Amino acid sequence: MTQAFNLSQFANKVNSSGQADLTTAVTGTLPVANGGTNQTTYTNGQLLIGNTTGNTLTKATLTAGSNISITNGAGAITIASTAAGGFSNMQVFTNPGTFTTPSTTTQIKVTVVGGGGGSSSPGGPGSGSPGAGGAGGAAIYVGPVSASTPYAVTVGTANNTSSFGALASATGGSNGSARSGTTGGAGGAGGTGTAGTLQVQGSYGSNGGSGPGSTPVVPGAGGAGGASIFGGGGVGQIPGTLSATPGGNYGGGGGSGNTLPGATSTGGPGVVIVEY
Amino acid sequence: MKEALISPKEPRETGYRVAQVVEQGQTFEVGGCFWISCADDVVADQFWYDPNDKLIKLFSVEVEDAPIT
Repeated sequence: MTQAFNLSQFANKVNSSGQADLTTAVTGTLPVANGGTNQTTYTNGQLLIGNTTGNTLTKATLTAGSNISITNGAGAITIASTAAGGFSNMQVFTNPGTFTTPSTTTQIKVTVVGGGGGSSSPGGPGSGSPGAGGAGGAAIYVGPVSASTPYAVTVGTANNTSSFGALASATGGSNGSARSGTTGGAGGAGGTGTAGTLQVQGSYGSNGGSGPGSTPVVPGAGGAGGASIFGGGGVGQIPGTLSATPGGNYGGGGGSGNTLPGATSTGGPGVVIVEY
Repeated sequence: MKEALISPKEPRETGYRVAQVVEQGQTFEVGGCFWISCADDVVADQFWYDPNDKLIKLFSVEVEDAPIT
């Protein structure tokens, strides 16, 4: 049985140009095979994905990978990175000061090194040499900071502490010990990181060499200064040949010796390096 | 009076290292350490801090010959 075509009803859906009104003249959902989507409803962020199996269109949303965020809006999708960006700026403090974080900075890396230790007083002909200075400790902080905030920066001179607020701090190296008679002195202990993500101890200074006692013109050789994370330990004195050298490279310990001149040296100063 | 910086991460004797000594009012923020008031004759690394009685004590005296001149 067939239903009679109601021409008058159809005529009401067609405009004067003979075109059908798709809103009122067509019912049902237009399938993919006929050029439609076979879909009638969507939520924010949904996309239509082609699928050769069955020649269909499927609704799907984007999946966020590592360190990516996806925000589905009404007619818009926002994709952003959630990973901490690399650091593109660096400021080196060799003197005390203040570092104020820029208004857009929320992550920071700070490397702090304390001042190196020096040598003790030289002995004398035939005696042992004092120990060399230990290196300054080091600390590295990587993490969040408050934007537009000042942080006090202290840079230790020889033996002294360096710090970046309370986030990263490192003590200075100790001086080498004095010799006792013909026995060389012990090298000074290195300082250490006391706050920060990574805390590193500076190297000990080398012990001073022992002297021969009865041979006054040949004292014990000096010791080498300890190395900080940047190296820089001073060399020990070889009497008559090589003078002891002070610590360098930020926080190196000073070398020691036993015959003036060239027997004493100081530790290298510390440093604070800010990357943001 | 002065201020001594005590570093608990650096053992000395049965206590901690006196890492630095400054005049009063010259202290600064140091993470992981603390400051205490001390006598004027306290010198870093020649004294150590005893947490049991909270006193700063002198190390055993080192024997050192008179330096050459």
